[in-house]
Amino acid sequence: MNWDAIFEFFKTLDENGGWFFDFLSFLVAGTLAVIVLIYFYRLARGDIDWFGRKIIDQESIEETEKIKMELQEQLTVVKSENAQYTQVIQEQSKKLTEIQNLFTELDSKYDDETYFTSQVMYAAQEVAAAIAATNEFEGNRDDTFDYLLDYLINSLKGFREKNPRIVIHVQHSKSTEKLSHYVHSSGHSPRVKEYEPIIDGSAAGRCWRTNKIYYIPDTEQDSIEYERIELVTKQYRSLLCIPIHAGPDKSKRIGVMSLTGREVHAYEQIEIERAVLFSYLLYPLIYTDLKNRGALHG
Amino acid sequence: MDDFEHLSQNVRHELSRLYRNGEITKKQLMEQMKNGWFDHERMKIREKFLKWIKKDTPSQD
Repeated sequence: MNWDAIFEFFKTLDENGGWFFDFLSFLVAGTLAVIVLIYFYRLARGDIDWFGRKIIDQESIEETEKIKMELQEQLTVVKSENAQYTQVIQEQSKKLTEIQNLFTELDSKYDDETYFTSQVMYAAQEVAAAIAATNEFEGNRDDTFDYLLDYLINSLKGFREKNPRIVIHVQHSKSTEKLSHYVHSSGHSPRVKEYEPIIDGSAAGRCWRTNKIYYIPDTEQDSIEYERIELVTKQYRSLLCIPIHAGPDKSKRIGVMSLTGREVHAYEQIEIERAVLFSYLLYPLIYTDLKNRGALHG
Repeated sequence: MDDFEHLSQNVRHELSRLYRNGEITKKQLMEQMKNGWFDHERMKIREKFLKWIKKDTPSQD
């Protein structure tokens, strides 16, 4: 920096009447006056003390702290509420899923029930048709029962796993100790016609004797009344025997319907009940047929 | 009430045969065998439920 040039410049200004220094003096004085005024104004307001230090409002700090704490408390409450609501939403969502699953299960069962009802309708229709057309029925007895028993078999759950087969036995025409074959469902070997269950010592015989349902969930278990026949390739583990009767009066029983299942514990309660319903559906047809053939032994 | 057709004996026996041979599923057998019979109330309830679920379940889009 060239100081000489600066001094020379100020010297020139002074020599030209000194107006610049007068102006500078007024400017400095004015600025100082404004600063002093601002100082007194802020002092009067209480913003600063005599030494110009900024005064901190203690009340304001306390108020601010109080608001801050309140806000923090509110934040904690909100967070807690939020966690609760989230939990409620999760629980509701879980319940909704459970409801959906329950509905699906219920709908599936309802579907099954309406299907079964349709099968009962068609079975009843075929029974009525068979009774109404005796001659035709006599010529197609096996086929008619094949179809009728199919309605029940197709209503059972897990048809392929259970491989259900039905045989109906009625009172023997020549023996009081045995029952005789009446009809059977498809899938049975023709040899099933030869089997005549003994009344004392077979499952069908017990059912006949007692006139009550006899369900054996596992034919391999001990303490069951069941006729074990040698040289028979057994294809079932469960056996359900249902009396074909018109109530508790034994004189009105006409046969026994035996339903086998490949698996152990093959049949649920609802399936047993459906089989019972079918036994009642078949009663009029079997009764009429036996009566027409003179094979009803009271 | 809707008028549902009774299936003829031949159709019923054929459906049963197809099911036995594994050519149709149990579900198909049930639907075709019912042919609407006894099923209309179930379908109405089912429709109601599906509408309700659709309304109450947030869109995955």
